[in-house]
Amino acid sequence: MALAWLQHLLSHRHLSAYADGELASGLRRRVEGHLARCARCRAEVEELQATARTLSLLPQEAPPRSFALGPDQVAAPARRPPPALALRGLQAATVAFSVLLVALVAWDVAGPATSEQAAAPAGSQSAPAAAPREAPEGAGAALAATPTPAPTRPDMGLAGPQATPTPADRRRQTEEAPAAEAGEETGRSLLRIAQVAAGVAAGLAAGAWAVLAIRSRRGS
Amino acid sequence: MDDDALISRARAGDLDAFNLLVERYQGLVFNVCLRMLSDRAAAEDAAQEAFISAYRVLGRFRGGSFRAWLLRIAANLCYDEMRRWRRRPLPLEAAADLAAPAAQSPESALMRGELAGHLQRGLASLPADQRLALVLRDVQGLAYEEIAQAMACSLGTVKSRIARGRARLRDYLKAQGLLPSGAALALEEE
Repeated sequence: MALAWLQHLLSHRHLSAYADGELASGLRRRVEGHLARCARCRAEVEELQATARTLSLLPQEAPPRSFALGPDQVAAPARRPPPALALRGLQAATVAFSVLLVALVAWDVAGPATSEQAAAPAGSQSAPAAAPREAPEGAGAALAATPTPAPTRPDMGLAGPQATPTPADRRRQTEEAPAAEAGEETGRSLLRIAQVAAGVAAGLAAGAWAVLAIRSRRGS
Repeated sequence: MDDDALISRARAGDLDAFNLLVERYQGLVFNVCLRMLSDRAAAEDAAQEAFISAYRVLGRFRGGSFRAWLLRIAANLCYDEMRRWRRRPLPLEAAADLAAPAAQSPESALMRGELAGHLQRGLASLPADQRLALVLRDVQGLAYEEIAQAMACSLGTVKSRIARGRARLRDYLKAQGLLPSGAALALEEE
């Protein structure tokens, strides 16, 4: 009984495809075997076939006109490629300048920590067991080129630029600051100029892209 | 000349070759759009648009059934149009006047016209995927394999869309008194 019900469920969902002759031979034989025993499914096949026959009575209507294309209808794509190429170029430029801007800002944010760190370590005798510290992420190649062992206080678990400097360290920092600051200042202003330039370039590229995109959409 | 030869000539810029393909398939494309949209003017626009975009993207045709590829473009345009309708009121009344054109005897014209209206309303009540599968199968007589290409789906999906759409349409026709029950049909045959 349960097996017959299972057979019914398995066959039932294939009845439409069976009526269309679209079942693979193995499945078709299984459905035929079930149909021989199940009057309900036989009636269902009849109904589905009658539905398909009725639907096929829908008349094919003649198209109201010819859809053949005139030269004016196909002229559009010839004009299209250049704007498409320009659009893609401007899109790439927008992305490139935006990435550059983000990178420059990221460098700026990471910058102060690394320059302080570079200025500090000259007198680190207070920490003879100093281990070389990794340059923080985002430090530029110029800073990485002057590897300097940073002071690590053995009594503190906290290593890194956040570690509180001793009064001696602080004094040394303020003494060395003017010399370092002058170079840092020019670097800073160069960085600012580069940031503004990248920002303006990204903005211009995005603006030009938007104008072109709107115009080509209107044109099509 | 077969489709492939016309396609390669059309790709080389021969508009006349492409228009031979248009002539060959415009009846099919227009009728599929008509059954999908239940609206003559909308079907006319969709069919024309289908041929224009087919010409533009002909370079992307990768062989196989050109007819199925063309139907896929037309079907997508119909789906777009239906999406637009969802934001505006539906021209449901249109289904009623899709009666058959003049037939030989006025009586059969009336009968067929009424039946055509019922069938069109029944189709319109189905979900779009089931309607498309059923139109391609039962109205246009395509094989499942080609329907799968036209709908960009698997053979199994085609099977289930046809099965569900046909069962729903059967229920609709029975409710309208247009289809005797299966038991009666079986008796008729014996």
